[in-house]
Amino acid sequence: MKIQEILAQSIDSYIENNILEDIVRDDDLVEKILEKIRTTNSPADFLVVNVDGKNVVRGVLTYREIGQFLATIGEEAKKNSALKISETEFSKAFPAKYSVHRSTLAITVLNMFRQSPTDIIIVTNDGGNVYVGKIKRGNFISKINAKLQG
Amino acid sequence: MAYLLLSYPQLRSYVDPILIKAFIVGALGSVAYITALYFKFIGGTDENRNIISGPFLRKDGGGISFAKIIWYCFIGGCISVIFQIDVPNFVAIQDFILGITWPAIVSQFLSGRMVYPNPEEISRVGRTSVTSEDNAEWERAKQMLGKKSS
Repeated sequence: MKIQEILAQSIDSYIENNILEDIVRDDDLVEKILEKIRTTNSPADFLVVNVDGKNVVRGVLTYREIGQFLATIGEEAKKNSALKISETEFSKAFPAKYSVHRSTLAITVLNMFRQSPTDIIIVTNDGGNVYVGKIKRGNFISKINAKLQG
Repeated sequence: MAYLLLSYPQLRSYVDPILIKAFIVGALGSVAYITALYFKFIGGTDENRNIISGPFLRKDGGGISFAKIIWYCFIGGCISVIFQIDVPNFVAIQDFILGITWPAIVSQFLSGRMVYPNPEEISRVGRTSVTSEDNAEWERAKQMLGKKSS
């Protein structure tokens, strides 16, 4: 395939939809996020998406915001291990910065990766910003390269 | 726009004078194009000229539509302003040429004749933006939380 054809396609084939690994709900404890930080090896793989009961995105945390998170909500959680996400300012402090709709074309995502430092872009669907998956920089480019060669 | 600025001098304090000049020069470029077309300096044959000048004629076949000419020149001026915004000094030649050639610029964008990234550039985009400092900070955050990475 030519690059023009690949970039004119929708991003469906690039979405990693294992969303249960990423989502935290309002009733979850902040400790769940802290545990995820402890167990994630590479900062580029770290992603937490705060969603409501209908999986509507309320906030997003990547490694770039970790310092701010630990200094604020992390400190609160140290004092209160039973602290719930809904009891914090998570969604206000960490709104989704890099988000695209499912119908977006690959060229838009490529341009986002070209122009911004993020390694992960979250993908939402109709019905009010519903979280459906993520696109990781490395995997996205690997798939484009595979299509170019295939 | 130029008429408004001349009629209401107080408006000038709100608009960068360079942008006003850009608009005027861009619009003059458009006027120059139409003038050259009118005096048959462009188009080659009468047949070609009829095709080129067609959009400037009235629908009822009653000759040139001045409203369309003003519309054309207004867009030429606006496009010159857009290109002038990022330039700190007044670049008259650029504005003038943009006023003359703005349909070609617009059609270039519409026909998708943009420069697509080559494989090297795509591979470069695939490189993570995580630096060694980010990795070190990530490890520090994990240690602060009480566990070392596996």
